[in-house]
Amino acid sequence: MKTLSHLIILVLCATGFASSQIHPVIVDNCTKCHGGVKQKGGLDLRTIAAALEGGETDTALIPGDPEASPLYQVVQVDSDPHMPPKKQLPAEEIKTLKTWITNLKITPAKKLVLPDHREQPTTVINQLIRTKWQAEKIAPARRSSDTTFVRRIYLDLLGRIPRLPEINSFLADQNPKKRSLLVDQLTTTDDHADHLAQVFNIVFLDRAHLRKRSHSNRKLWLDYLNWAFKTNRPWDQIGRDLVLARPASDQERGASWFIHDQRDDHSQIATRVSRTLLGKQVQCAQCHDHPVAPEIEQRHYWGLVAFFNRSLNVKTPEGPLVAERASGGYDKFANLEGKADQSQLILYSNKIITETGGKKTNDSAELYSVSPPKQWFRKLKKDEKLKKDLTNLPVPKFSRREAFAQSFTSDNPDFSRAIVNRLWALMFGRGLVHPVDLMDSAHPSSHPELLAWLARDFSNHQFDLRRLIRQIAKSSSYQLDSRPAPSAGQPPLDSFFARALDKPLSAETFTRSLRVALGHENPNDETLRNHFVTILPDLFAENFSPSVQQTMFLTNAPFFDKIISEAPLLSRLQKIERPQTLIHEIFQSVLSREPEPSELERSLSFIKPKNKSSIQQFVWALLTSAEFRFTN
Amino acid sequence: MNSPSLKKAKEIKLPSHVLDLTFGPEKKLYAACLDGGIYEVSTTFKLLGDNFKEIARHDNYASGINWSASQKTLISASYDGDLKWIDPKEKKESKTVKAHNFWSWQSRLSPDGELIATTTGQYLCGGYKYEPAPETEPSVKIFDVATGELRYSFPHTPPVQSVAFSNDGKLLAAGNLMGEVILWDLTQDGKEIARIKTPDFTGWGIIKGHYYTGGVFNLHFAPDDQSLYLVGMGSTTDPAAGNGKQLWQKFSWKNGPKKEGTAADGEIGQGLMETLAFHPSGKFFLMAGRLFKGNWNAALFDHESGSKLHQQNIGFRISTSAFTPDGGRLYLGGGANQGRPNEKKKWGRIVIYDVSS
Amino acid sequence: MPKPDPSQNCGSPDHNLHRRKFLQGLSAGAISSMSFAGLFGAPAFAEIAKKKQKHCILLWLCGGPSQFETWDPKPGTTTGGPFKSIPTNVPGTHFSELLPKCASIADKLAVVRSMHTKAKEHTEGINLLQRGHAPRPPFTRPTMGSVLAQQLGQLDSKLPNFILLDPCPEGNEFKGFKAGNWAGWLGAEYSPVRVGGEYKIPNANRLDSITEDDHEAREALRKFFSKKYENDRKSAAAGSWNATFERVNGLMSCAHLFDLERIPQADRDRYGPGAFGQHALLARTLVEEGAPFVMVANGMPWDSHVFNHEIYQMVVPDLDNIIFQLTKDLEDRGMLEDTLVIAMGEFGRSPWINQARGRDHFPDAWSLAMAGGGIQGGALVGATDKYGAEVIEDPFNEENLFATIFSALDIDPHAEFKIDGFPTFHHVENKAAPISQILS
Repeated sequence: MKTLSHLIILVLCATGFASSQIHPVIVDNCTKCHGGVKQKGGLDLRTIAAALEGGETDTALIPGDPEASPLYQVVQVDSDPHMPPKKQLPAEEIKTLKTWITNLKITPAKKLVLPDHREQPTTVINQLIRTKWQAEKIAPARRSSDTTFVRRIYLDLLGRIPRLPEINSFLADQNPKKRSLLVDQLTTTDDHADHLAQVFNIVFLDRAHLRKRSHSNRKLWLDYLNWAFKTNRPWDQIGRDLVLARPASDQERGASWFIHDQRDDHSQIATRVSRTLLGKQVQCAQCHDHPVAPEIEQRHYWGLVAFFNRSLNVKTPEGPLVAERASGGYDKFANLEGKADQSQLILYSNKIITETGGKKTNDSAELYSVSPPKQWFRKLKKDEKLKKDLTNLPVPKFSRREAFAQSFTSDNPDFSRAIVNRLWALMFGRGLVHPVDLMDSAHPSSHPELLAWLARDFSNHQFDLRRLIRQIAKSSSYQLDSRPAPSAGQPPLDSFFARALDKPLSAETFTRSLRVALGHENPNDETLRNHFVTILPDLFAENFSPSVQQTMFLTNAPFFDKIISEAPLLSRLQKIERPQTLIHEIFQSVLSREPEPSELERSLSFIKPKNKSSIQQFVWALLTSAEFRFTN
Repeated sequence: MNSPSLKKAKEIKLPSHVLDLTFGPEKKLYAACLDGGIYEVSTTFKLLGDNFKEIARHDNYASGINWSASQKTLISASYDGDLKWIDPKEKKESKTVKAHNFWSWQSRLSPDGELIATTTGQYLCGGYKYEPAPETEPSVKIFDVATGELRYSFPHTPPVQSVAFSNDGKLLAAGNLMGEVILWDLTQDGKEIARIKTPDFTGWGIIKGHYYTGGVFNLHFAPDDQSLYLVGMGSTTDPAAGNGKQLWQKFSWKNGPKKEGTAADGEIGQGLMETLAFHPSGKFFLMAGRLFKGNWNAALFDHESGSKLHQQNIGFRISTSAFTPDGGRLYLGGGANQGRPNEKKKWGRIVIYDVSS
Repeated sequence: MPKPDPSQNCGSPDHNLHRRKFLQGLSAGAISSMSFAGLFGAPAFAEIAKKKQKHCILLWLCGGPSQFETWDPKPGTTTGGPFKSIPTNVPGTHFSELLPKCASIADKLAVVRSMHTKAKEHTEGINLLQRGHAPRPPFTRPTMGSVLAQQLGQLDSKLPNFILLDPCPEGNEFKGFKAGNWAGWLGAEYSPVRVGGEYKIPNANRLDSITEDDHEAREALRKFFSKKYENDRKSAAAGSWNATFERVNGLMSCAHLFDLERIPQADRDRYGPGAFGQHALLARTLVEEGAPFVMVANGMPWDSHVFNHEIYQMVVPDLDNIIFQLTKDLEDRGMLEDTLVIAMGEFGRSPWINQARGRDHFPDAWSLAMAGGGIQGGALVGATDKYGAEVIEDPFNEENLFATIFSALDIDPHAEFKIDGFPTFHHVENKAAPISQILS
């Protein structure tokens, strides 16, 4: 019922625990026997909820009262029983424990209080970001200028810097709503769909895959992404296209490439799905439970694999597709201690999907609604491989992939959270959970209410990507300047979003912007882009870590030198007589703005009109400056 | 032919991991264990006391135990490089011969019981990519069981991890880390007659360490001596994860080395396979080792077609196996987790399965 | 009251640490009233410390090397494995039989057998033993190399102050670490330059199309615009970008020093053919050229969950030779006194064998070895129980280790990092003491 003015969501206070000072002490000293691998005395200490539930002898914790908390009692010197059994925690750690228990006022279930669902995302973003500034007494940056805004919005939405006419028409526009109008307009362009397609191409398939596989399949895949973003296909549909991989139309066919490209490596498929669609890195759980995030266990990893381990690549007249068997895929998995377990169809939410049949069920035509050919069922001779040329794609009556695809909109809250977080990271330079593929209990969100609200809003509005991107771009938080508010010490942490962050351009964006800056009509150049992919491979990186190899390239590579010397911009600049005009022209072309007085002065002492070399070096200096390197 | 199957009959615990086992006189059973002990093992139920009795002891892992019926002696081999002759009646060592400076990786008796072959070799860095360095002592040796004298000495590239006599006793084959198998003809004074090379059992790790791991862990001639079976872990770019296939391959050599068969991808999981044994009927063979991923760590394969007939998850790692001469039972040796040192746990295992076919 | 004699203990552990420095001629009277922390405050002392260039070579045995197959053998026990032990030239000290060369120079090595740390997974462990302290988000503590690069490095040196030699592109968690933030709060200029294998320094030569003057002039112009941006926006990212440009010239002038091919073949043969040995040799030549900190790795080869003995039969003799050659070479060149050599990983390995013929991670009790400057040759510190399952004497953790490393290189372990607007951080926290038995 939507009559409540606030929707209350029950959330266990994992966030506070994971970021507290006591967390590492408990992880290091207690979780070996009271954690993922075993729970001695029935006690699990990986979460507060579990600690409160206690073990055989009732609760381990009395919030606010350390003296009465068994957890605190047992670590004292000479206590009986004594924990850890053969160690004594140093006095400093016992003190930290005492302080933490004393201040532990929260009740077992912490309720996230969310704004009304009827609000606009833009409003909620502004409100909740501001709330945190106020709580921490942080002064935000001022609003960005139009000059700053136009460069930023073109980079973020189209993946290139704006051209001079585009800048000028925006600056000249008197309409007070011009920013919102520009956002709305840019998000309908083909270039915007193109940009998103490129970003998600890398997200889904990394750069390593792009180099190796066949050209025609890659094109089909890119065509799919392009079409999906151009038509603003709902994200749950896209997720479904990717994991179900049973195209209902020609345009959807390219989506099958996501699974197909993993070449029947089911473990790879599972880790990729988890990382790109659910925001969780899970490969460390192949051999044992996640060491720090207790909600990710080995069985989740193998459960995820189980959803995909009936898949196999096949060839059909329509091209390569991914079939699915109706039986099999009942793997056991062993941990390092040799203990083996049976895998199940389990989601991160711990919901288990039941299915009929079992290990002993043999594959047969009656398990399919669209049957595979007879040779599918035949027992193969030695050395014989299954013929994977099929006339049509068989469809099992119960499909594990279908069950998984359906979970995106029902039992898989991570699905919405992951894409919301990623779009936030794309626009703001940093996710609400950072990094974007570590959305587990060990990486709490900087703004849990905001993330929860946006995820809920996203799923309530047909998983509409374009709407969310627009709403973000129209928020005042997004439109802040990148110069922090004046203060004595360091600027506030990035996670406060108190100013626009520097976002390093991806190889794609860098190359397109390079070409626009250098005066080329067409910003796209595949060869150039591929070259820069090896130099600047990062996208959604956890940290910005430039390497000296990159700067050596920009300084000494003949390839880069040639790009500048042969650029249309250079021949245009050589015709300019006046130094000031020359300098203005270069600044506008490369940095999309006018030079400041001190910059003009310095520039005048360097550049000589009609001198090709000094012009070229000047252009080089701006292209390799920090300002061009980032969206800001 | 009906599909053979296995049914567990008995499990016996030994002090440490069982690396080799053999049947001796009067149907007695002997085990060579990681703690260096050679044990006579009793398979009958005992109310009190252990099922095993130590009859010899090596200074290092005991890797082999063999019974020569013709010379009425047991011969054990070890990582201490020694061969020990053991009298099964006296339950005592009678002779020790120093075979190698390094470990005896594997030892085998000739079918007539007159010769004992043992292989050695330390993997040392021999190249930029950590290719193995050449041997510093002969990697393959054959000793006379009656006298203890060295009869043959063959070169190979170390470490040579497996060795086998042909069923007619005429040939010897030995396989190493790099998947190289050499065959010698003992009727021609030990002349080398063939070399088989397969990259499929050796992994060069690109993920963890740039070196070679894996290799041929066991070798067996087919009953008709026309082909050779190799066993190990499938090649992987991350052998340190142990995720190579549970692999066997079959080779012939008479007209040049030729791969005749291999375990089918759809039938195998991942994990190191350490042992292969032919059922006395010659109709099927066993392969066993470790389960890393999949559903089994011991399986029976049809000799003719190579397809899997039966699979079994034993529950712990298997290193050695033997069918009884009448083919009615299968003995598997290996071990569970070692556990913490003060637990004095008996972590070695021998399990006995009834074979129905 | 008797005058304190600097050549004696003076009864205070602080003084013992710097006995060597005392003997260099500071008057006894002036020192006796100083505390350890104040030692570096004395201006005369600081002068001496700066004059002689110190170096450190870290042989990073990533994956966690087994102490049983190296420095703390337990032959004849259920946990000792198949390798025996051998006596060394230090009476009473035994190493694994896989380390015969090191055994012959044990009087130049110092071994700690009682390392006891708490990180049991690779990412945790590598970070802990590379940074010397548990994480305290959101602050990233710089790695050992970055701190030493800052402390030992010369501002105008041509060689990078922190060189990572690792030809292996992979390494699972180590690969993730390599791609991460090495320099932490010290800033990108203290992150390593990576060389080895495919990792060369490409584009190391100035463009043909540009003169030396123009090359410098345009970089100066670039720097002007970029620095302005960095300052106006208080942008750490821009700072990283700029710092990385600062290193270009230096690297250009020394790119040829990273070429293995130019090292005499006789030397290359001595270090063994394997990639790790070749790069350890390269480390030696770079140190000879003045590099303050060189870290040598080769992926994560010591992580023997599977095939422990099968792998260690090969990697340990390889390491044995490397440490031997390195120590001898540095000594022959008169550089051993000023070069600290460390051989360690992020933890040790379990006493028991697992189901895959391997040993698992074991931070509870593990070993490491050091040689060279500031180190007491022949020292054997700490002990484990009969099975190697527990430290029974003198446990030390990563803080003690880092305090030791800093002290050996004449760096004050408890000095503060001076960073504006940051909480107070020290090189080593909690006033953790160095392992005094290991320092000369």
